[in-house]
Amino acid sequence: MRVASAPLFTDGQPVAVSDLMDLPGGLIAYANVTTNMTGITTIAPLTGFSLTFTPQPRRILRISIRIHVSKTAASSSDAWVTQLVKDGIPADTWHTLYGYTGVPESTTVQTLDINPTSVSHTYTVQGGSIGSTGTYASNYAGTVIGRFTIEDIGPMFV
Amino acid sequence: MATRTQPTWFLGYDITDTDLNGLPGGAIAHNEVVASQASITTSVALTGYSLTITPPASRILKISFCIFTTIGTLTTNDSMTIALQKDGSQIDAWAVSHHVASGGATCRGFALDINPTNASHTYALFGSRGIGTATYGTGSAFIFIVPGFILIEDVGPSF
Repeated sequence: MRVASAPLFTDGQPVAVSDLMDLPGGLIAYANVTTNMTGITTIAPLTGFSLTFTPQPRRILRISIRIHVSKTAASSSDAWVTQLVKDGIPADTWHTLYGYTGVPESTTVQTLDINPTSVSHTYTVQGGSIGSTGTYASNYAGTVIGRFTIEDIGPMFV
Repeated sequence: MATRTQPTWFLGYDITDTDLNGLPGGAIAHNEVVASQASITTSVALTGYSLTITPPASRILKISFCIFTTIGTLTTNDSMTIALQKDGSQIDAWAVSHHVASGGATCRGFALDINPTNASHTYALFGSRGIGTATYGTGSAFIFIVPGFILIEDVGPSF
């Protein structure tokens, strides 16, 4: 467990640069995804879910993903896998069970990247079937869109 | 894709209002919901899941929620829709399926509102039957407590 003390400012206190750096930086990258994919079987990159940026040093990032996917071909004992990839290497994985064929369901997941190096990083999302032979498709339409966000939620602490 | 370059500060740097405005404002509205709601078929406002705010200009808002949804009689290929409306118009929606009769399923989600106008806005969640013929509900259906929430955060300046 890691616990940090949040800063509290007092009236008349001069604000220093270090005070600002103790605060969260907020949203620093996002993508809204409307491109649909079909015939997704094995795990593959999801179009549009890609963010490249250079974080400040010694920060904690919160990465949020929202997808809208349906199973288009029934398969028993099947699971959809959502996977976050950082610089080409899988960094986190989530499983979703789809009970019905042809019924889109929304999946929202989050993870942290603690103290990434202050160089350019590319975060992508991939997805697909695991455990059987199911086929999937994304179902974005109208106001229903995929989302991929990265927030600076504060300084790294130990 | 949209990205924002964060400022680089150094010792002795003179902090300006621009620096402070470049930071997130944090949570600006929230509500915890413990009431249950039943008999949801056609689109209906979900009690307690409504927030009215006047955001500052040129900001990005993140709207997050978590709802415990329930179903009565299970139907084949059922799906419940949770829609987010802003000032009466839908701006996002989520689908959740139930796989057990009289069971529950948690629906959580988030949306962004990029650069809303500096005027009063009402964000509200609506529930409805999506696919199938089932009747839905929200809130605790069992003996444990499952409060829901809706939260609006100012996550920083728009870009």
